[in-house]
Amino acid sequence: MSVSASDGEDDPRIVTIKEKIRVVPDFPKPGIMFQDITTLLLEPVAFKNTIDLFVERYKDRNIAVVAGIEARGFIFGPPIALAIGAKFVPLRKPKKLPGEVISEEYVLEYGSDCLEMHVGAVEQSECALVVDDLVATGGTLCAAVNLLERAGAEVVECACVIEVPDLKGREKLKGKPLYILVEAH
Amino acid sequence: MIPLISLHHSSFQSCPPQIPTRNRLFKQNHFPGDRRDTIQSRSCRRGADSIKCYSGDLRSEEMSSEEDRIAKIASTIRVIPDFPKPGIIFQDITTLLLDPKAFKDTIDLFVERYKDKDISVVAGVEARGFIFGPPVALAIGAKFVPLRKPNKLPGEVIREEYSLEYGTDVMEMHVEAVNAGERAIIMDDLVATGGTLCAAIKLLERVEVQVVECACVIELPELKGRDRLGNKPLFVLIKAV
Repeated sequence: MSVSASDGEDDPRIVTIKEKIRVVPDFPKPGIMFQDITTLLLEPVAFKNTIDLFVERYKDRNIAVVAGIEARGFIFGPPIALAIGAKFVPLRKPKKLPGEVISEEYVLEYGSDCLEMHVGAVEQSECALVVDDLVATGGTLCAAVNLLERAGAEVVECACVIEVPDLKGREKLKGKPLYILVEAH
Repeated sequence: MIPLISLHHSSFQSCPPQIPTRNRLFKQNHFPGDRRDTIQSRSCRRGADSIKCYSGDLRSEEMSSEEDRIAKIASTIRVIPDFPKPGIIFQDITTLLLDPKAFKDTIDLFVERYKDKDISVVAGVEARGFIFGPPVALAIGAKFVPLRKPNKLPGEVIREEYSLEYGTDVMEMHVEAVNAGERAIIMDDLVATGGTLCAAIKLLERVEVQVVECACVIELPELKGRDRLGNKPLFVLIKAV
């Protein structure tokens, strides 16, 4: 499987980032080609470039909230939030967040799952970004967008390192902008 | 009861010099939505003994800046009683993450400590260690290595089993993430009994990485995690009683 830069631009940083992502076949089950970002995290320059690319895009857009999806969104979201001066809001699996939460259920291939966010983490009309390592079917990102919008935030964009375009996650987002660095085919 | 602020000043002046560890003890009596100002609002039931403040080799203005930052960070942490079960007082760092200055100060305090220590690996424990570890790794130019629950990491892993109050859990790391001889720190949001940190140390040491220190935002000293780590240094910003 090849990983290509998202929009044909040869930003040299994106070329290096795509090279550092490891593809692991048949994980977590046969037939799935898993896009492993942990190898990217082992390269300080490439990891920094990944964050910088997002920060350059979002720093002047008045983003008050960066929401990251558990668990790999927790790796990319906080450095972006810190660099642009935004809050970081973790979106978690059920029963991990203490105190009052709102929940959004979403469909998996078999069954369903649930994403939670703290009540009061975001305020009405705040501009928000949703961050995760990868977008596949878009189910998780959709749930994240819904949570933020139910709380009154305006989701400006979803941002992921990798997109698997064949799984049509972009369509599932129904026009909500999606920005990615690399495509996995 | 001795007001906290004068307690702070008297213990500061009587501190011996050149002690490297800086820890700060705060009693936390926070409720959601309560953002009262830092030092003045705190009461300390245990009196003089419970505030520990050590001077390092910083100038006095640098030290007060560090203490100010820690005081502010502590004030943003939310305490939730009876979570995840009755009797547990949960230290919730998500409210810290909602305060960009406090979150930045938290990271800066770790970066200042580790940036010239030749650390090439920051290992973070899933999941809240993933929030603090990567910004520190990025700032000091180190790799970030996630230590994960079972079956999350693809490819070849090594596993370490560790005890919970009831039963056991497993932590995994990619075998090729680190090289023998590398110097590492391990990060998590909080140390309680120390079981998780111990498992993390073992994983790294099994592949001949030198664990220089464990670093957490919060320690629960009554649960004696520090003892469990034995001779492995532990650095925390806040001790919660």
